[in-house]
Amino acid sequence: MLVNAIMVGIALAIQKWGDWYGSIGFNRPMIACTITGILLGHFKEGIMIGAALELVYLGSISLGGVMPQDFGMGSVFGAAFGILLSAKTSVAIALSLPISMLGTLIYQLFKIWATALVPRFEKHLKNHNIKAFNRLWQIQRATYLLMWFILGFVGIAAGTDAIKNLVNAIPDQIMSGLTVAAGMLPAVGIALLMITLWDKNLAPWFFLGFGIVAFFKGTMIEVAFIGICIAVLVAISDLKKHQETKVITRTDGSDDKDVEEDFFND
Amino acid sequence: MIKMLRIDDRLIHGQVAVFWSKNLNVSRIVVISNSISENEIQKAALKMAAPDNIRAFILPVEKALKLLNDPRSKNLSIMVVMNDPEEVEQVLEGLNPEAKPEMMDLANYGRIAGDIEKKNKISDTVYLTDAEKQIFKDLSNKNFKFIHQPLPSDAVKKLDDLL
Repeated sequence: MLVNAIMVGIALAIQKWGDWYGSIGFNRPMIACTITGILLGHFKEGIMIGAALELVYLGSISLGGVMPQDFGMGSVFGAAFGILLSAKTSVAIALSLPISMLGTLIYQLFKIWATALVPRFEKHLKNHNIKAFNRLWQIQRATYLLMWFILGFVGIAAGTDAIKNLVNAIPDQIMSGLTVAAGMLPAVGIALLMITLWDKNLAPWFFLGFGIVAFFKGTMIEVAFIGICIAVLVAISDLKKHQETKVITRTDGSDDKDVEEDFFND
Repeated sequence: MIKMLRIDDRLIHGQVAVFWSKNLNVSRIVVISNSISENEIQKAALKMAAPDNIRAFILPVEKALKLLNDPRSKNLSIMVVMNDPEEVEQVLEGLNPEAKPEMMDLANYGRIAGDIEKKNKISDTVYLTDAEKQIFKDLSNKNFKFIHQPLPSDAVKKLDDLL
């Protein structure tokens, strides 16, 4: 159990390191769950839970400083509990969601401390004390990563038995209800994504994917395979179009007449 | 038709480019700022931030007023984004009555520049100095009623109640 707790702590720290380093996508369930799976020695289960959670969190995009939920942390814990309790994917999803909400709260606490450090950073800059500035930066980073490690460690070390009892205590009827609900969540994820992405020009693609599943009994694999081929074809034709139009230069907006023309004409 | 005039420190960013532009179905985003319209780098960055299907313009107050007061603007669906209350006052007073924005939203302001300690907190995302507060009170008295709604999914609050 101790080894598992350390591994989950490391997984969470790696996931958060990716965010810190520059949003390289480590918070996506597909990556976060896979990392957790590898470290816990269950590569395959990690990927499977990752794929399921990816659908659920598909629409969760943090924009302009609004963080709806910490799906990176939700993914790591979801995968960890799913693997350690050898539970169904639906259980992993059901556990992941509330944990992801909790994650935002914890992050807020860190932010309070990080914001409090700003005047000290500013003081170092004013004094041209780059060394002290760097040191403070490294302290901040180490604290950030250590915080997530401890959280992952304690969460698994202290939480696994409690979660296990909780999962075992759930009556069968409710458990099957949860399974159905977990099956519907991907639809919610896609619907959330549609709020921002829906475009009538793209609608045919959406229905094509739906059709492949509905009429030809395709699975995710078939849809993804065809989807990749279409994406490459579209990208190639876009690239060609882009190269052709490159020669025609648009107005640079310096001329009044041009701006007016550009503004009113479609 | 100006669907919305929004005050936002970051001008065109995710909340504007993705959520509001979709929600209001706009085809033009006009950033009005005298200083930014002379800064080629900022202009290029802002244009990059706008979605492909929406044309973004970064114009000084005077030029923008000329375009927005043009009768042809009535047929367009426009979103105006600004980051300076004084210029907002100039724009609102310079617009013809029929070009008045359908909605005026003070969404994100005052957290980036200046000393936040000396400002009045209006909401989590809006901090105003005393002078800026006065501008919005004046505008409200002239029947330019602002709301505060950072995202379409947020509740609409009247700025009058927050000031």
